[in-house]
Amino acid sequence: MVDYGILLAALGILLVFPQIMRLFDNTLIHVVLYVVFSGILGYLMGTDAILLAPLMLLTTYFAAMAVIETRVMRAAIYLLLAMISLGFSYIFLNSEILAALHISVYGGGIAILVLFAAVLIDENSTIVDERTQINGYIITFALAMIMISLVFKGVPKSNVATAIINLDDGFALVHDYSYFLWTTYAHVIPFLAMLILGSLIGAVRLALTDKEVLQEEMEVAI
Amino acid sequence: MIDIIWFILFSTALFVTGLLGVITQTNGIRILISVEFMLNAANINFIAFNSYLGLVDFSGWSMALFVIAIAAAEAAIGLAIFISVYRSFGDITLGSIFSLGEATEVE
Repeated sequence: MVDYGILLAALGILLVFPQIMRLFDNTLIHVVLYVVFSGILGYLMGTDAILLAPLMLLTTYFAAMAVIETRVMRAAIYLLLAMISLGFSYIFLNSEILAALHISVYGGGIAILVLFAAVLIDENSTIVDERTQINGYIITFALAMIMISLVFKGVPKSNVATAIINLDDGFALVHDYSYFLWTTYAHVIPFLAMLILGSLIGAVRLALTDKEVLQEEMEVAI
Repeated sequence: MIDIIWFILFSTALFVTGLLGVITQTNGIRILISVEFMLNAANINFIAFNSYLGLVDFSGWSMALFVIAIAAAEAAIGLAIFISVYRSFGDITLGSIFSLGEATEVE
């Protein structure tokens, strides 16, 4: 089992790396920083996970940039890159089918949808006041600390793989829920699909309808 | 095989990034992007835990599929609503839209 100190150091590297990258504007420095931080993270993670370290670092960097970047268009492109690199990380979990599905749905669907929305809305930047931002950072840090301590306390110190295979505690809940969802209650899924399809059609109609027409319709409905 | 704790750490980092976006940003699209990251953090956990079961059980994968489908629908609906709000109010800064029913539109 990995020490908590090493885990926290690795988490710190993942979260601090995007902020350090933002300080520099030179591509060469970015590449050097990426190689150095990947090396440190790979060293902390050990030889088994050394290939995962650069991908983890790249994904969290793209994700952070998608959140922090002031221009919405660039944020959408960072989302696309983050989703593609996240999809590749599924290959390390022997889930090639889900990796392909993830890249096609997120990279080909959702990211492009966000990109088009950014183009249609044509809002280049959003000004966030400094006070809100600082408060947000403090709240996030506090919530993150609580969550991290809960997560690491929840993971048993003994062999995790044995606990999963024996389906103890929380793992059994997901297993049972999933089993009943795809067997006994499988007929619910078409209804859910219809519900989602209906909501999608409604969303398209909402986006296309003028405000005045909508107000008139709402008045008639009331 | 890679220790599962690294995937939990990865998902934690991604979730925290999404959380930061939801709390600090005011732009509707940016918040939607952040929510996507939070959903994906959950997905990593489902897939990681399932991969430790081997090919005897697909519970985590099926849940991940469910999450992907719901996230796709949520993104489509959310973006449609934001485009509609932008056409009506000229702005998608969530703090400045006081009420969707009131006349607070930007000239």
